[in-house]
Amino acid sequence: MSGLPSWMVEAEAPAVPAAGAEATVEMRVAGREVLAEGVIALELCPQDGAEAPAWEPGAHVDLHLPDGAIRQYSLCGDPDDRGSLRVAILREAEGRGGSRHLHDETAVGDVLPVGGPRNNFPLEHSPRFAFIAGGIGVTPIVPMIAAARARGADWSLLYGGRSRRSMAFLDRLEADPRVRIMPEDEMGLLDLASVLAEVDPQTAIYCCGPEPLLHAVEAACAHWHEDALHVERFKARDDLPTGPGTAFTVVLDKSGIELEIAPGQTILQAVSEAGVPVPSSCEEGTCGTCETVVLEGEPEHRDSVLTPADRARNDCMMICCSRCRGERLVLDL
Amino acid sequence: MADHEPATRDVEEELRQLSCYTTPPERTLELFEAARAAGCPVAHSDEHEGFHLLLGYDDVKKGMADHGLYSSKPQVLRPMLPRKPIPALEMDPPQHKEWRALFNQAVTARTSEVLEPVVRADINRHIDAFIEAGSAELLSDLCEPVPAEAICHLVGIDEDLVPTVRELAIRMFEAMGEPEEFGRRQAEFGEVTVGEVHKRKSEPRDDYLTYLANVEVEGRELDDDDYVVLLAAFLGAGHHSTTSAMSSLIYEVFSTDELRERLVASPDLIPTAAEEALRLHPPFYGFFRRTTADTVVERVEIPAGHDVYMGWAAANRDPEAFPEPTEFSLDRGRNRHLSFGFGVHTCPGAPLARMELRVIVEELLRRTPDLRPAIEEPRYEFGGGDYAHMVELPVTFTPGAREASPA
Repeated sequence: MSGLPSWMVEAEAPAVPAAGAEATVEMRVAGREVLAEGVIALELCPQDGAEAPAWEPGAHVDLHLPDGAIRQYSLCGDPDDRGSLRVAILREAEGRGGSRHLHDETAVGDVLPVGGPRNNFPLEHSPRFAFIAGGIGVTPIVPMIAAARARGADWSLLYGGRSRRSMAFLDRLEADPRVRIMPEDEMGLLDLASVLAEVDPQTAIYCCGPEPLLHAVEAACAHWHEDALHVERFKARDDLPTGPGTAFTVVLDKSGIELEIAPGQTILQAVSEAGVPVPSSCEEGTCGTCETVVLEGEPEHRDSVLTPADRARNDCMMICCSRCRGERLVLDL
Repeated sequence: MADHEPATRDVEEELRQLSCYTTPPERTLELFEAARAAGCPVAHSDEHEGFHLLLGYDDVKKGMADHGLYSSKPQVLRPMLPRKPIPALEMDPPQHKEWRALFNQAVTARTSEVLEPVVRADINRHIDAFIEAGSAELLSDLCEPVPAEAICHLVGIDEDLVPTVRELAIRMFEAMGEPEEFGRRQAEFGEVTVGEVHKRKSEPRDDYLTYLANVEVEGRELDDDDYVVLLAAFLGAGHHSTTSAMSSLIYEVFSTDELRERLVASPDLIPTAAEEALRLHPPFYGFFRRTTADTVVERVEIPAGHDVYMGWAAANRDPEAFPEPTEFSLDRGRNRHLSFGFGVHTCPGAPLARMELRVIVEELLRRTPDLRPAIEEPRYEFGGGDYAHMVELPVTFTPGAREASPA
């Protein structure tokens, strides 16, 4: 093993092919277990006895369903167990149908294409963690707690749900004095103030759950430092400013050239291929060398150079990594 | 440059003796402005066996981008020392790219994100140590240790070894001007840090030192000499330079009520303030290049094989690029200063430094909101090459409470 430390790279893995559709691995449903009312766990094993892909707490996978739908589920097993991946799935009767299919029609032995894992909710290094979970949002928190334990960090968990019967992993969590279980039908809404009233600069807050809980937590820690809170929202991956992106048009104003940028291709690549020289260096948005003035259009900033104020002005961009929010950008090149 | 006023001749004479060993930082900046005012954007000094100084923003930027004409070999600091080239920094493409990758991979946006809470905790630990006193010397109490610790976290130096590594690095760079002593101290530094790399070979961990222990560059494994210069480069580039920028930023923010209040009201502007402090007070005033061919800059002929000083401290105050250049302003729009360099050698640690600068101001504003420098004007001096730093930064504030119990 001679790679970079995992904490430097975990968000970048796995490599995304340029063509747009992410590579998937066929995995077999090797186990199905009822965790709570309306919650099942599926165990997914690679087909050919290969190792399951590596992942870190907070990661999720894409399950590709037979009707073409793609659904994201957080991993809740043990990252060191490379034999299989484990996801917990809540049956959402009112949902778009993905969870119903997985609950009602998926059986042990079925094969599903699996994309990822990817991690938008990585566990940072911190001396203390305050975990807050609502309902099925406990899924990514379970391996995070194991990691916090292994790192010797302090931690606490506030875990709410509709009722005890609907709450997964109670058996594993309940015995630990650092865990407070608050079923809504017995104890009402989560007592967020008990955890969040007092600011502790050494604590990182990790929250996963339904949108109203996320809003309540955001409000309850508004007086904390803005980077203290980490949340996982269950959202479509199209919103994420990573991956190959979509196609768009770039007009080079001074050169009078119009270019089509394909998904996975950078503006810098296309501009250089068109024979327009732009100085560049890091090609990952950290050095600022390829900064280019934007005359029209709204960039999707992916660099780490521009400040929030720079970004808001949308008058310049790093063309080595940033893309376009709309269909067209006009650059001063 | 044919007709000179008498005053200009004096300036030219003084410029001719200019180097970071002969002229203090404040005077250096004055001379740059005098040269510019006299219509002389390309000056010349006889120090270090003679070199031209580029002072105009466009000239410096163009020069930095043209690594073919302006080589970074053999060294970018003067005087030249009998030492190995600093990896990436003192190499030209294509060799540069191979080594540069080691740094690019270590410092990404993600690294800064992951390290931010760690750096914040470090900062608060240091603040805890002086917050009850109501006064501090921020250079040694805060600005010096924080960046050293950040680099140690980045590469994976164990917590209990951090003070030792920090101390050894300081000793090593103090001897920059004395070749023999520098060699001795670099060996001391290497003994500890390279020892860590060797430990990772037998007991791999999930850290950057383990990566270095196994990585191949230019088709070969690295040897102990490589490890020393690489780790020295990490510390040398990321430690005192950030210390210097931090102290300048803190001085600017906390000596001006208006600025402080604006940042309290709009914390989003803290990064903008950091860029402005970097522009006015670059930790390095410039690096040297050596021409690979005859060239002409601003009608001044520079022959091949000649040393050229890329004076970004001067470029950062070019009124053509920055109107009212000596003003500290949060309203410059995108601040394209050259303090991190430009082109293929642009500082790879910039995201980390920017994060550290932001967090240190956030925490000082939060915990010591009425902090005030106890000096009228900051005093700068050069140390070890064209690295300029504040000499001291004593401050006073209303005492506050510790946040963590003493370790």
